Amino acid sequence: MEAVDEYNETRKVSIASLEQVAVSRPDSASHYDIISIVRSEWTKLRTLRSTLWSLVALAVLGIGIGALVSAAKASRFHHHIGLAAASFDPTRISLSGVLLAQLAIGVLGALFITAEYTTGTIFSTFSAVPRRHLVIIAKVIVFGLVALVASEITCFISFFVGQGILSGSAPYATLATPGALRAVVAAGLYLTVLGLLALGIGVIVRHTAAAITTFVTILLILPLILQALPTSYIDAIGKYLPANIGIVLLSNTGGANAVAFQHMFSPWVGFGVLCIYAVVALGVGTVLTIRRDA
Amino acid sequence: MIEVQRVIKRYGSTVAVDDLSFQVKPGTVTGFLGPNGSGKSTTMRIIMGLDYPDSGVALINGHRYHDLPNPLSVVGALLEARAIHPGRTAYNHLLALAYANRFSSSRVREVLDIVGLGDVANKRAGKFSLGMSQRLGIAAALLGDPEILLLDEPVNGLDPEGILWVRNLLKGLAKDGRTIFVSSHLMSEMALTADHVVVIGKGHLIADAPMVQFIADNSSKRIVVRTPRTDQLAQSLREAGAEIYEISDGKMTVGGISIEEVGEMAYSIGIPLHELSQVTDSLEKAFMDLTSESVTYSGKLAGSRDSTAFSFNDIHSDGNSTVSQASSQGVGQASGIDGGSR
Repeated sequence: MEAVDEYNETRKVSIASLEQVAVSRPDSASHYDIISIVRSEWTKLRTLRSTLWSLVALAVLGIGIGALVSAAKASRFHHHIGLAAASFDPTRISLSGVLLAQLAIGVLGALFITAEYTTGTIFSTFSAVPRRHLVIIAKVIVFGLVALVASEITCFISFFVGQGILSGSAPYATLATPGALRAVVAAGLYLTVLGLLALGIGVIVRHTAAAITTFVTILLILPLILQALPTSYIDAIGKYLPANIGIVLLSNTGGANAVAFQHMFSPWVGFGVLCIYAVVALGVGTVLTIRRDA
Repeated sequence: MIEVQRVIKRYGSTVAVDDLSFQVKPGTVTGFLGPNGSGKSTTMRIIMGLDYPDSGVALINGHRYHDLPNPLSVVGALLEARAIHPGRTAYNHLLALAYANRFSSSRVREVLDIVGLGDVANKRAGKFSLGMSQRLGIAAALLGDPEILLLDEPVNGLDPEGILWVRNLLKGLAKDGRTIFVSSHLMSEMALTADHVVVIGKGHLIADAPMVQFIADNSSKRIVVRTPRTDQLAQSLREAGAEIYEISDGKMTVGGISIEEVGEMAYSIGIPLHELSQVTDSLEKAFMDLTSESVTYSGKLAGSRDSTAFSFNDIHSDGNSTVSQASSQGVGQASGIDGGSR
């Protein structure tokens, strides 16, 4: 308890400083607004180590898994013949890590609000900003921007690393390849909106474990449950699953691949559906947050 | 000025606050007293706009907390000392709070120095002792240099030096004309700091009075007499209109008569006295008596109130003429009620 020792040494001084409480008045314009709250939320996000670790996990999983899958596919490409070779999608292969990186961004998004409830800092937050919807809007802005930058960087690096690995022994893509740039950008957007969905789930359930469990259930368990249903249901419902929307978004859906996605939403329609999920979760969460006791 | 008007708050079938009304006037330290579970914290959370009352309203300078455009400059609150992210430093915790209401980082340094945490500003709050967390909570409350301070059990977990520090801080802040509303389950602590007292039990208002008046109304004076002829003296005292509270082998406790009258009576009927002394009940006892019917979590107190945790009520038995001072010193340790308010 080094901190406690240091504190004890200096405590005598503190007692002498009693008279200083009002030495200086704080800034007179102390009204809060969305800009001041965004600054506060950014301060909260950047001052926690868990933020850094989540972003490191995002990059390592995204780029690392993408590189591993690319290497495996490259070494086995000579087995591919005919249709299999024609549907070989180097863009999707290099972005394979997104399917694990999505867990990291989800954890970061959920924690951004649930940690406030589990630690009790939500009392300070709502004391400073009693109009609670502004807190959630500020969190969406701050987290959305951080997630967008981190996700796009991760996806672009994954793409370049993956294509570099593939280029030796298999077909590869460049950003100029039709559909490739769209897939890389959309993969980053997919991660960002998933993170916002996790934030929304966190706002609703308020507990870290419950939020992450719900998020993982939606992403990983729902597709498994769906597999148990008759094919007609899979075709009808499957396209609504966030995980399937994600696969469409990070794939090159043109040319020979189009057949594989015939039961799915087209990339941008799928992305719109995903955005609706996030908006609904955040909206429901905001209404609940305003109505509930903190 | 804080106004609580006919506030009712239920949690499920439990009524936490039941039709509670009172005012906290500017420039005073108002003590908010009640046993644990009596609804103090809930009331404070309602004032802070954190919990919503089922009916009634809590106003700050005539406004709901929710409508304050600059809340931290109007009200500073310490609701729960441990409500800090353990991974964040003291400085960063306050900085995030400061930025939300447009205060500068230099103000954060100032309040950290005021509470004596300047040198541990960059340590993570998870490593802080309860006393340090308590000081960090007070620093947060002072951030906006607010005219109203709301403190829930601020001396909880503090060592004697820290208790003295909080006591002096509150007095100093009140002297500046600030409104201070501070809760405690320790009457004796409040007796030393508060000008006014609001007492609640089971969510009901029990007392709302200036401290001086509360003390006068609630501290009874009793006289302890030791004599080998208790029966004879007791009979004479009864005839003179006195009340005998307790009588045992060679000793009795008497009220409703002055100590001089007892002495003169013993002299006139020729009874030897071994002791004649006056006992003033402690405020703690007055508080216990007032709220005993409304203790929510009575635990082992039930049925044996005078002989368990609150044994300081019996300090007079070894002949001290006044117990209020003694009990106020011992109360921090003697109290059987747990410090946690929620």
